Amino acid sequence: MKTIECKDIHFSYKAGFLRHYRVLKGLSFDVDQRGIYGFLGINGSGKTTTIKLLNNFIKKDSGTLTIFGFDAQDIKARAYIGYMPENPSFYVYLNAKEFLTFISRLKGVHKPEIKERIDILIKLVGLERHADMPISKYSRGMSQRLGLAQALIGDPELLILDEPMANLDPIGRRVFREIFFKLKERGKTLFFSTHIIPDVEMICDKVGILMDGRIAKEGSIDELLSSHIEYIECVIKGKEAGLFAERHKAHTLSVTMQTDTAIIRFTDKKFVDTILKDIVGSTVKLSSLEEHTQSLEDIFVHEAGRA
Amino acid sequence: MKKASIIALNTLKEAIRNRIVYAVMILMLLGLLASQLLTPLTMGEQIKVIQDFSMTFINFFSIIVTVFVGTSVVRRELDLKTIQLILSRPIHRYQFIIGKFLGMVLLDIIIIFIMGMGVMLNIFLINKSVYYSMWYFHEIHYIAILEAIAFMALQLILINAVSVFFSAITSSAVIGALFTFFLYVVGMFTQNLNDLLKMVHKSYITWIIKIIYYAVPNFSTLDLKNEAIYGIIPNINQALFLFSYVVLYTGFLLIVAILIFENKEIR
Repeated sequence: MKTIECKDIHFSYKAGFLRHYRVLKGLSFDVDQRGIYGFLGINGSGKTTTIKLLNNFIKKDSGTLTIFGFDAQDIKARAYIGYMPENPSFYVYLNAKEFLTFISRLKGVHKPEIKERIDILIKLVGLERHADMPISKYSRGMSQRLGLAQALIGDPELLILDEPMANLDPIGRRVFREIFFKLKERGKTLFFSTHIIPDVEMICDKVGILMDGRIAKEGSIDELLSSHIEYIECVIKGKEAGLFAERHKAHTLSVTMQTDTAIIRFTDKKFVDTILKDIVGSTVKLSSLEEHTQSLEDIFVHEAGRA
Repeated sequence: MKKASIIALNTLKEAIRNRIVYAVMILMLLGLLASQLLTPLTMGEQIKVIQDFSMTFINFFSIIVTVFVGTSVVRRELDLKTIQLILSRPIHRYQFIIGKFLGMVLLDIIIIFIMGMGVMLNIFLINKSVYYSMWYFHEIHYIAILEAIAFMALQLILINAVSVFFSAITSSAVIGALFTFFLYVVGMFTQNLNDLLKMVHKSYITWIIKIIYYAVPNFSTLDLKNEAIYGIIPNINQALFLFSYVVLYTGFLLIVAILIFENKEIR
């Protein structure tokens, strides 16, 4: 069973009495169990709208959206979710412990376990020294840490995280990354919305690039990168390296000579076999052969330009 | 019901930690103390004036607290987006609305209890200090005053339902509070609308007045302050009727608020 199944979702916001602003235009994607899914998109592409649909804050116009097989509007789906909003707001008259106790009770955590679990979570996100301080005194980074702690209450199977690392300092980012990896190891699913590409590259197993209300590209990081080969670079060495490069010039993108070294660049993968066979029958030696792919950022910018 | 009670207790905690509530409650207690200053000005009607002043004073301020806190408890959740952290849990939206309403009802009961005790003590002390004869002491109808105070609590519960209703349909706490207060003022004059009906002969105006008369909650019937001063206690049937009226009207408003809130976009 998929953790999230999203099929042909359409959603529009009302803009005035008769006008509608279409945000999602046939959004479809699946999130497998266990692993981290990066939901990447520019501002206004529909990331937060999708997250609101998953949490049943808004209702879709059409399409199917399920969480562990339950319709996203079904209260049973909520039992599986831990949600962390982009800029979490809390009851400022409470402290972190009081707030987490309140959320634990709403989540239905067994009463005798609440205190122990809260202590573990507070330690996990690094809020031990501030746990009794009123939330009104919290910095943005501290609020972000509390936001993650409250999402982890009840040990949910699916974590929906909206820009979770946006307000964190480098230490906080590392703490969060380590928590995410630990959760993944424990078999949890993380649905991670962001527009910070290095975070996605470092953390996510699978990425969906959302553009203009639809998934423009989807796959694992390796799949996405390997499908966007910029060129293949072959470095050969030997006295006849120049002649060798000259022989194959017709199939290359460029040839660069440096004394006894030739750097040959080409785009056609089939040409790799030809060049390797030719090297075997000649006096030149193969120094390196590597694919140069576009970065995730290049792919993202390319897709954004197409949308 | 368990989840609604968790929301209710949190709402009560929020209200109790609200400085405005404290400020108004202190103001109410100071007002009750200040009422003792009125005694020399009342020319032989001291006890009646003090009773009237004390009850009107706490009635007015408890309504102010209820209207403003009542409309903000739901609206603030939407404006500050704290509601997102609640509704992303396995909780129905109706449980949220009922919880918020019950939390406010608990606050009303606490305010009315403390202030009611204050009123009773105030009247008792003034009665002791002004008159020492048992004849005057018996002029105060403590049971009737207690009953009037209990009906004040019912009035507040109904105002709460109105404020929750307006919180669900308006986009600002201030607008919600203004509508609630306006409806309360109209509701205090519904008896006058009935009198107006006798004077108006045009059929469509009669209909409009009738619609307003029946649609607007009749807060004036829950105001038993004057009756309490003269020791008039509503009989059990009247009391049950008024209690049922509050329960039904509150239930109706909460159901409409829930239906609206079920389809509300949480942004």
